[in-house]
Amino acid sequence: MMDCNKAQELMSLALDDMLTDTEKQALELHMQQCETCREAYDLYLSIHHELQSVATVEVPSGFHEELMDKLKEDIKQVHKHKRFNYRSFNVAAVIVFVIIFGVISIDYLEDFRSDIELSDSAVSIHRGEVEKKSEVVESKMEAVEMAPNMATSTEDEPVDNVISITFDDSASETETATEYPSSSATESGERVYDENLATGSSEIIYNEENSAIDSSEMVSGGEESATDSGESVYDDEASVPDSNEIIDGNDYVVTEEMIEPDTDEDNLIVPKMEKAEEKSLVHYTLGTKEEEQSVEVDTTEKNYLPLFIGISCLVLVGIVGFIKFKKS
Amino acid sequence: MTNDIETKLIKKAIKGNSLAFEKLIIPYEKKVYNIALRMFKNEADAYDASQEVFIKIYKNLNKFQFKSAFSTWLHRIAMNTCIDEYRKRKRHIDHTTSMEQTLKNDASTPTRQFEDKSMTIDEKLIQKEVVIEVQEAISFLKEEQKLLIIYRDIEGYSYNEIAEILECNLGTVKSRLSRSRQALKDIIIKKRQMIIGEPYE
Repeated sequence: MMDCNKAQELMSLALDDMLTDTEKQALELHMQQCETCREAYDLYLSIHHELQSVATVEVPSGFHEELMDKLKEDIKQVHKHKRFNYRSFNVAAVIVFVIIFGVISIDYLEDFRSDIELSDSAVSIHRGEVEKKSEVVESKMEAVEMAPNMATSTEDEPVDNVISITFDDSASETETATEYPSSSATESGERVYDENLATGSSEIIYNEENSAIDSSEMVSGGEESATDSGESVYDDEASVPDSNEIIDGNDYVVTEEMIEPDTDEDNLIVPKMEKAEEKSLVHYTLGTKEEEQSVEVDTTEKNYLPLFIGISCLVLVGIVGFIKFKKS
Repeated sequence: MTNDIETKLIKKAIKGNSLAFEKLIIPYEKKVYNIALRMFKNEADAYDASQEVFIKIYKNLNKFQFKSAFSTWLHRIAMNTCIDEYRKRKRHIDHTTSMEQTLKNDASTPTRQFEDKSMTIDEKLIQKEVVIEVQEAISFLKEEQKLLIIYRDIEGYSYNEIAEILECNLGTVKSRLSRSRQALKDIIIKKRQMIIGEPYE
């Protein structure tokens, strides 16, 4: 015999028609005997019936629209990240453009620089010659004659610097040549031919000890300079292409390298050549300043095109970014 | 209920396609709203609660594992949201129900509400009274019991479906539903006894 609690459980299942036949029979048997359970089951049925008959209601109008509006706020928050990505993308684009046009403009600058170097290379050649001559002087003696020429000359290594500076200060090759009789290509050349008969400079260097050496050394330097750059010395202002042919690219160092083999492979001179290179570096830096000045003048005229393209691209990117930012 | 279409829509919606999300939820809006309406017995709360359900679904869509049917997952969120929202408004609802109760206890209000329709046929009047009685009684059930009755008796979900939504076994659903129905029946009996008892007082 089933108790009322168990019957109640089965009633619930009976409403959903989920009872097995035996359960159904047992429940029916119980309800026949128990009036309260029978009444309860009737109530269950009516409740169940009422609940099933509850009409479905239509969703109020505007429910979906309002929901999507609410969700769009969330979507906006999600898009904020995307917006941030756009911003970073714009920044990246700007950086890329800056790099690209920076490289392009540097290429242009280098082109101009090489042009100017070519024009200056002729000058450098002369400087190289002059240096050599002066080095020789230094190596042999502390150059008593040189001292007065150089305004603030110390000794040895400092002398090198001073010499180089003096050359820079002199600026014009002709002037230096006049100032230093030893370094003047024309005068020295003449002297060399006169006194030393244009023989190997090294021998002369060893033999002679005095200021005459300057001129003798000038034979070596003077000869080559006369041959290599002698033409360009006079034409140098006008004939840039000539100097192009003479010098490949690196101005001062190259000039000395060019001169090096010419000046008979001397052990004494070679280390001096290194000194000359050091000087040449000094020259280079000093020279580049001059170049830069000249470059600046040139670039203002010719580098406008890539700069203009670069700036306009940057402006475009900026405008697009701003529009996107405003839209989102 | 084809899972393939829903799966595609879910994946699109997760990627931020709001149109896909709309397509996904539109079929469920009516159902969720009706469940909420049975739960809250007032349109404004049902409206807000069902909005909250879909907002939660949108926010948690990326957590959907595709292990169950989307509808099951949706109804689980709907159930939990309804319970949470109901508890939030419980004081307010208690207040309104007590107000309704006092109105109902006047005995004339139900007839007034359905005056034009029900005055002609007595049976209809009685039926409507029963409907109101049952719906009224539901509001006195516990939240979980109420939802079980709504899902099984009103919305007609099977025991298996409910078991999946509640993540419990079939036996649990059977016993829980049985107890819920018993509770509902007891509430109705009590109310009837109160109404019957009143004239004598």
